[in-house]
Parts: sequence; structure tokens; C-alpha cells
Amino acid sequence: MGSKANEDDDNGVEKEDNGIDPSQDGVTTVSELNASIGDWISSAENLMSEFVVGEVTDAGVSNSTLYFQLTDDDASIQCLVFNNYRNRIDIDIEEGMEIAVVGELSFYEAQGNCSIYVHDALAMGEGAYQQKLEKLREELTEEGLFDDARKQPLPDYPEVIGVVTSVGSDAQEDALNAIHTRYPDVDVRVHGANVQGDRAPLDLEVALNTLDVTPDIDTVILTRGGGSNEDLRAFNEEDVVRTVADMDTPTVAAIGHEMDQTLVGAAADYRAMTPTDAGEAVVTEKALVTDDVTAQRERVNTAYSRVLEQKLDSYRTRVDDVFDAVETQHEHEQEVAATKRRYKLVIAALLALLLLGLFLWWFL
Amino acid sequence: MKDTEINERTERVEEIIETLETGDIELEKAARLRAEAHELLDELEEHLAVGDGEVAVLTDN
Repeated sequence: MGSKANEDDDNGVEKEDNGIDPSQDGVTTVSELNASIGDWISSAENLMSEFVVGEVTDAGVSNSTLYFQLTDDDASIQCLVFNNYRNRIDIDIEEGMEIAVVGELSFYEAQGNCSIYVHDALAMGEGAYQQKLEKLREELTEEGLFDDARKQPLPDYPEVIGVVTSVGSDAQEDALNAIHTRYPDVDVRVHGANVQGDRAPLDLEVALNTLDVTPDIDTVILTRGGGSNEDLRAFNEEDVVRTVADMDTPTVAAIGHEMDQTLVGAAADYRAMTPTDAGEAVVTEKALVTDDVTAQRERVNTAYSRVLEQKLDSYRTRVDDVFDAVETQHEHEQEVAATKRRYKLVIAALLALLLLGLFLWWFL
Repeated sequence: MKDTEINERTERVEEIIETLETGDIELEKAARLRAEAHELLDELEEHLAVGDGEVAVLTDN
């Protein structure tokens, strides 16, 4: 062994001198190792069988190249179908199909990955997992587990929301952001769970059942972000699907992306496309609700003011009418009094004339 | 307060508004309805402040 003294490399980073020199025999770099593997694969004869059989998973297209994983029970390998070969293949390669591919094995030295460059593919039928999944889907559909009649409406005004997801995940953050952006006051209870892998189904069942019996929780969101079909398999497990369907608390499922059609999504009371959609689906926008209340208060005040004005107008009119009547009566009484005075004067004049007549008749 | 209670209150306020808007009502009754509507709206506003936005993690994965 060499000295333990420390040295600085070209970047000034302290390196430990452990006596291993990349240039000496028995020592190689990653680049050299991958180059050797690449050389060995390209020169190896009969390494690749004429057909490689497996199930298609995680298929997609990027830059006109079709890519997918060819999977069996224990292993998978990436397959690429370049554009010039895609038109020559007679079948449409889709998720869940079991196919036999013909092609060449390629080693990508930069990442140390093996892929099959597919030249042709033949359909073998549905893959074992896909067959099992479709059988379960049919059974549960026949049982009515996905019927609309079973679905509960989501409450318009939840006070506490339960979330089942991987704690600290982007899905949790997205769902919480969406909830609190629309309704900042709502409280949230998060129950963590593994959302993929062997432990996921039991974890999810425990979390859902716990939140279902937790007092005050009005709505439950079950969510995780996107992943491969294999990553999402826990959400197609029968026990998990039945747990979701049997929830007493209205439940929203947002598993993966829009294209991911899990059985849990079909069993939930509401299927959201993404964690953000789930958050937006469970709460109304508080600002709109408070605006409605304010508008109603203004309408009450306006309507009451109108009633008040109408009553005041009515009283004003009645007072005016009464005043007019009194005034008319008064004028009439004054006219009658004047007439009476005139009559009295005439009568007095007539009496005077009569007395004068009598007087003259008596003395003359 | 659950959805039904909130909806009942909102509907009652709407009824009151419609009654007041017809105008064919005694002043004393109008004042009483206005007070009832304000009380219902106060309750609704109080209910809309449902919590403090607390996030509680019950169990880690």
C-alpha cells in the first residue's frame, strides 16, 4: 500500500492517495469497462436469440422512436423501434401485449445500458399481468363496484380533508397547494403510505381505513404522481380497490397522470387527473363563496331600503291627501261663512226697509 | 355546519330577499326579515372560517 498522505488534484480537491493508479494493470475506468463490454457484445455470436418474448410495458414515443420495456416475471429490457422500422412491423405494439421481438442487441456505453433495437415484432397475445388485470376488471364491473349509483357526492364545504400519499412527495405538495390556494382555512390530515412496491397495498389499505374512521374528516384524497405501469400496480390490487369502494367517507383518487386508468380510479367516488386536480376538486374557491355572501347581504339591504322608501312614499302621499282634504274643507267652510254674512246683511237691509215702510205708512 | 345546513340558510336568505323585493309587506315584518337574513349571513361567514389551514401528518410512510 502507498502513503496515506493527502494530495490536491487539478481542481484543488483533496484526494486521498491509496496507492491505486488508473494506469496500472488490474485497474480500469468505467469508460474502459463499458467499452470492453460493448466490444464483447458486438462480437459475441448467438448472444441474441432469434426471438425474445415478453410483455410490453411503459410504451411511448419520443422523436418518432417507439420505446418500451419488454418484461417477464423477473426482468425487463428496454426496446427501441426506430422510425424506419416502425412502418415495417405489422402489429401495433401496445401496453400489456405479449410479443416476440426480432432485433439486435445494442450496448450504450455512456450509461452502461443494454437495449434491443427492434426490427420486427409478432403478437403473442395479452401478457399474463394484463390478462389478470382485465379479468379482475370484468369481475368487479359485473359485481357493480364501479357503478355510478355507488358513488357518493363530494361535500361542497369540507372542514377537514384526509390525504393518503407518500409523505413529502410532489403529489402531496401539489394536492396541498391546490387545496390551500382555493381554501386556505381547510385543515388537512396526511396519512403516509408506500405507494409502490410490495408493501404498498397493505399500507394503502391501513391508511384509507384509518382516515375513514378518523372523526371530522369530510373527504379523503388518495394520490400519487406518475410512474411506470409497474409502479402503479398497487392501485390495481383487489383489496385496495375494494377498500376504496367501501369507504364511508367520499373519496377522490388521483393516481399518476390522465392516461393512467387504474381500478382504484374507477372505484373511487371521483377520479381526478392529477394530485392538483384532486385538490381543486375537493374544495370550492373560498373567495367566490364569500363574494356570494357579501352580494346576498347587499341584496337584503337594498330590498329592505326599497320597502322602507315605498312605505315612506305611501305615508307622504297619505299625509298630502289628508292635508288637501282639510284645506278644501276649510275653504268650503269659509265660503259658507261669507255667504251667511251676505245673507245676514241682505236680511238686515230688508228689515230696515220694512221698518222704514211701516214708519212712513203710520205717520203719513 | 354541513352542506345541508349551509344550503338551507342560503335558500332562506334568498326567500327573504324575494319577499322583500315584492314590496308587499308591513314595515315591521320587513325589519324582522332583514334582521333574520343578517343573522343567517353572519352564521355563514362564521362557518366559512372552518379552520386555520393546519397540515398534520398522522403517520409517515
